[in-house]
Amino acid sequence: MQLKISLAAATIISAMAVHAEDYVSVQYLQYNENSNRTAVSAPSLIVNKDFGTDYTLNVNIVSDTVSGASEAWYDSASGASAFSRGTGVNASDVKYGNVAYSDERIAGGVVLTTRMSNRDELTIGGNYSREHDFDSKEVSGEYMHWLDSSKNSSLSFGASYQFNEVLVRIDDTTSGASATTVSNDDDDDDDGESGASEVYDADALTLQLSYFQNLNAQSYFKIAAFYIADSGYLTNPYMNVVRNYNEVTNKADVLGENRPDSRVAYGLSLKYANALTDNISAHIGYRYYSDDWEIDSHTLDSDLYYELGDDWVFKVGLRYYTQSQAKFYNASKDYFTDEVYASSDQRLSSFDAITYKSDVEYFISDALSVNFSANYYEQSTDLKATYFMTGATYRF
Amino acid sequence: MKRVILTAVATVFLLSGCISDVKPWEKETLAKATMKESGTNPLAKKYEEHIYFSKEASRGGSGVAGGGCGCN
Amino acid sequence: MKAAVASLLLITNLLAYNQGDTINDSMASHLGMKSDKLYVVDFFASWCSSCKKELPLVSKINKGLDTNSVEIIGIDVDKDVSKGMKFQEKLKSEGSLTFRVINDPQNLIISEFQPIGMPTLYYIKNRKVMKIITGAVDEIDRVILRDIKEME
Repeated sequence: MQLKISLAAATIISAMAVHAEDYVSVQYLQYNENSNRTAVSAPSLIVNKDFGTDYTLNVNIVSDTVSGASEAWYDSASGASAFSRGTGVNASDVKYGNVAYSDERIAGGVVLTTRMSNRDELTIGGNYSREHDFDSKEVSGEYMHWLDSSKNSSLSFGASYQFNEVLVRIDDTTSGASATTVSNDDDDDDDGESGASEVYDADALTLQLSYFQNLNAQSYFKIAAFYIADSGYLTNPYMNVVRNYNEVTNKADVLGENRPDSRVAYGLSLKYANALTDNISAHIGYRYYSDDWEIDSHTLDSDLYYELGDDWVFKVGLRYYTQSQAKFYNASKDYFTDEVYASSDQRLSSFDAITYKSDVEYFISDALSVNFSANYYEQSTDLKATYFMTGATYRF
Repeated sequence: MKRVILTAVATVFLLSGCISDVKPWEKETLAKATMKESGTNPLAKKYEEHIYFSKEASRGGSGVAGGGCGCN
Repeated sequence: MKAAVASLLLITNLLAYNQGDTINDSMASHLGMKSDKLYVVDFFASWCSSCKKELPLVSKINKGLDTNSVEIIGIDVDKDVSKGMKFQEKLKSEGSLTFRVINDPQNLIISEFQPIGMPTLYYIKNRKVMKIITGAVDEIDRVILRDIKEME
């Protein structure tokens, strides 16, 4: 063998094309909360296909049917509705409880990945989501650059922009509120005032920079820094707060909540995966999040896979989450007076949450597998939920 | 926050100290479905992220594309 | 650290078979390169998805080759031989593997060649490496036929 440091100019280096597998997967999600709160049934479909050596197309579609109730403040004298609002209502009628709602959502996305001659990847995607009162359009792009010729480390930069529209107009009067669904065609007047004929916009910009590194033949890690900026109408039109509670007169105002029109967040996420043995793989991830509503959170997520023979794959997982509350959040009846920003939405409160996950996948053949997963989610608020997923994947 | 960043960077350096160059023919294990970042069921992962986005106040860290919804 | 990795890469590159290099006697004999035919050596593995797409195309053109002047040799680098054999049997039954295969479970052969990706094709004539094609290439069957014509 001649020792030669040659870069073999005539060698065609198309290098290791990371061919995605071609597959079709259908999945069904059933999600249920305690106390007859939200229930969701959602079937979905995903198709992933290579075209030649340089292109991969991924198409997904999901349809959710949401029903049940969510908790909010309301004036029970006007009925259990999020729009049972008004000024000077009897304080004893002000309740925090389940208000019914239902919705259907359909969402779909297309993602195209293009591989360059050096096998860097450019991914471009579009996503559309529609509910009766909410419309979201998103465009995203990501570029992945290999840092070494062995393709063991890479740097990626991605950005996405969402154009969101809240399609409901809330008309507040002294004796209550009414909601009307508006269409996208209404005048885009966006001064945030209710009572006008308008569609409320909210845009979101996300940026992410990530570094990936194979540590050895059994493990890798990934670290990412992200930035998210929301602006526009970020208030939830169905959520209420109680203001000006007066013990003496026994009166209070039940009014719609109000959130700032901007939210800036940044965070860091770390992922590590290790094939502990030939048939056991462990994944662990940590994410830190912080925004200017003073919400900070930590997420620790872990999964353990066990392969039994050629036909079975079992997974168990545990996720721990903790967040601090938003600076304008308060759950009490007698807290808010004339603060500009106020919300009693439990999702902005401080709480911990834990998820217990399990999953089973059975390979009917090399190409066809079926899966079933059972998961339990519990927050230190009184929210408990179970969700099941089942489906099949066919690789071709 | 500063502590979090320093811990993360320290972890990265610690892990980087153990880097070996994996040859293309040694990538069998890394190529396994159970080693993929999105897991063996990417659609299921998407559902889970959607659930957390609906019930919690944080998001981000798992990629830029994902779609929006009026659930938060 | 980066310097150590770079040095290691440089050293292993020195030990690789690059274009223009000559295959040594023991390797040539191990691969059964007895004559002055053009040999096309194809490194693959059951877990390599690009290889799964390439093998049927390579097998397709193998059928039309003049075995007196060209021979394709597959090198299966699966560490688990039974997994490799199962993969090969499945491909054979589909007509997607029509050339002889040498199993390299200890990766001794591929470690000498040191390709920078998978799959990799080496064109070897008179024990000299004429050309190397690494990775997934569109219409690899046409590319190989063209290359064979040029080298004859």
